[in-house]
Order: sequence, then structure tokens, then C-alpha cells
Amino acid sequence: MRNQEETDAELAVRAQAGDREAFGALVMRYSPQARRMARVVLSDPEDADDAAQDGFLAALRHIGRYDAGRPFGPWLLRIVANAAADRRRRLKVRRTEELSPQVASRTADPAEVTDRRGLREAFTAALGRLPERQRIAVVLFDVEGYSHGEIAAVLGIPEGTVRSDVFHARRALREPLAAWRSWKEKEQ
Amino acid sequence: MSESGFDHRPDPELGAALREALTPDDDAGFVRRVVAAAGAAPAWWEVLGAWVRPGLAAALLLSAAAGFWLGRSVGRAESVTVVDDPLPALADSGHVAALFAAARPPDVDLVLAATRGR
Repeated sequence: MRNQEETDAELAVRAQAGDREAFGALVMRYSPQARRMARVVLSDPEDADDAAQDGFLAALRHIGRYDAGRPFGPWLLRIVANAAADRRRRLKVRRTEELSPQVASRTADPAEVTDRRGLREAFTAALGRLPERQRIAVVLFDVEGYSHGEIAAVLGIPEGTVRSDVFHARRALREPLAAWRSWKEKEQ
Repeated sequence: MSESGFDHRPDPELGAALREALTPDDDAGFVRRVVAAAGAAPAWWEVLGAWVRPGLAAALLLSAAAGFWLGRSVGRAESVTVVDDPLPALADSGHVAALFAAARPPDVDLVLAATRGR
């Protein structure tokens, strides 16, 4: 298929010229990343999807400002992060965006979690206890594979701060990761 | 994950665990929803196009109003009498002080007439 062969920049240039199909291809390509990014900022899945959609529509409105000489992902994810933060402000949700007390108490001890759903909740709870910037940094680095420089551009902070944020987030996620690892070993 | 956590390479194990925790279901449904919303949202050139007619009408109205105002100003300017010699007007108004502001020395008769008029 034509869209799958095209680079992000080529699709973005076509989208800039008003080609909605090209924009659709970009949405398809980046929707998992954008939804994860929104989920890092907003814990409620519906709010996160609304924010991810807001981000895509904002990107479409401002597609003319995208510089095709630069990577599309960080440009888009910055818009999505801003859209999620705007939505969170509108919803007046607390900045730390921790999980609800019910979920937090269910997942108090990651070592005791034995099922997949419980592990997901343990990870989400551990992430929720981190400052937002650390959450975004570790997800962009370890999940999405962006470089420190690209994450610095998304967050508007120095590269050294990104490294430090990833370091602290990784340390905080050790416990749920150990539970996840032992669960995986049992499963195999 | 390295023990220190200070590794400059992505950690595939942590990445996989976080991906599993954060990745939502039904991506195809989400894509359809965004594309539909994008189709419903007008593009910037459509927004601009929608403003062309009212914009043109407003511009025409403004230029007509400006033309009318200019026309009236010019007409009024033409109806104003330009007094080359201030003295006849001075004689009518009787303002003696204006005699001293005149560019040329006034005629003696006119000065006397103005003085008598007071």
C-alpha cells in the first residue's frame, strides 16, 4: 500500500496540502504512541483517548507549522502531551494524577500480584506515583525508543534533565518490574 | 534493567512491561474516530473560504463609507471661503486684534472703520 511505504515527512507534506488520506495514515501510524502518551498524563482511559484525539486534531490544524526536515513523532507527541495537560487542567484533576484509592490499595504489594490485569494495575499505580515529567521521560525512552535529545525537545528541558528523569523513574519502577519478570517466568 | 538504572540504552524488559500496562485496546476504533472527527473539522482553507464573502461585503461597505466621508470632507472644504485679504472679514467681525496678526499692513481706512465699529 502506498501510505505504508511513505515516510512521515512525505505524508505530512501531503497532509499540509490538504490530503486527508495522508493525515489518516499518520493517525494510524502514531495512534498507539499518542494514546500511550495521553495515558501517561491522564489515568482515565476515556479522558486519555479524548486528549489523544484533541492532539491529533490540533496537529492537523497546525500541520503547516511542521518542519518536514525534522522527525514527526516528537512534534506530534509534544502536541498530544499539551492537549492532555490542557484536558487535565480542565478536568481539575490533581497534578500527580495518582490512581483512585481502590486501585492503589488493590495493588499495594506488586509482589503479591499474580495475574496480568493486576500487573498492569501495579505498573500504572507505580507510574502514577512518579512526577509527570519522569513518567513521560521513561515511557518515551524505554517504550517508544526516542533519544534523550528528542525527549528533551518534546518536554522542553535539557538533555541532562531527561537522563536524570529516566534514571529516577527506572528506580521507582524496579518493584513492579520484578513482579512482572517473575510472572513472565512462571507463565513460560 | 541495569542495577543503577543509569543506562543510556532503552531497557527492553521495562519497555515491554510498560507497553503492556499502557497500550489500550481497539486501536482501529480510535483511528476511525479521529479520522471521522478530522473529516468533520473544517481545514484552515475551508475556514478562510467561508469568510471570503462576508469579508468582501464588509470591505465594500467600508470602502463605500470611506468614499462617502471623503466626498463630504472635500465638498465642505470647497464651500469654505478663502480670504486672501483678511481685512474685509475683519471689518465684518470687528476683531481688532486680528489686524495685528495679518501678513500685510492694513489700509488705514479699514483700521479706523474697525475701531469705530467697536
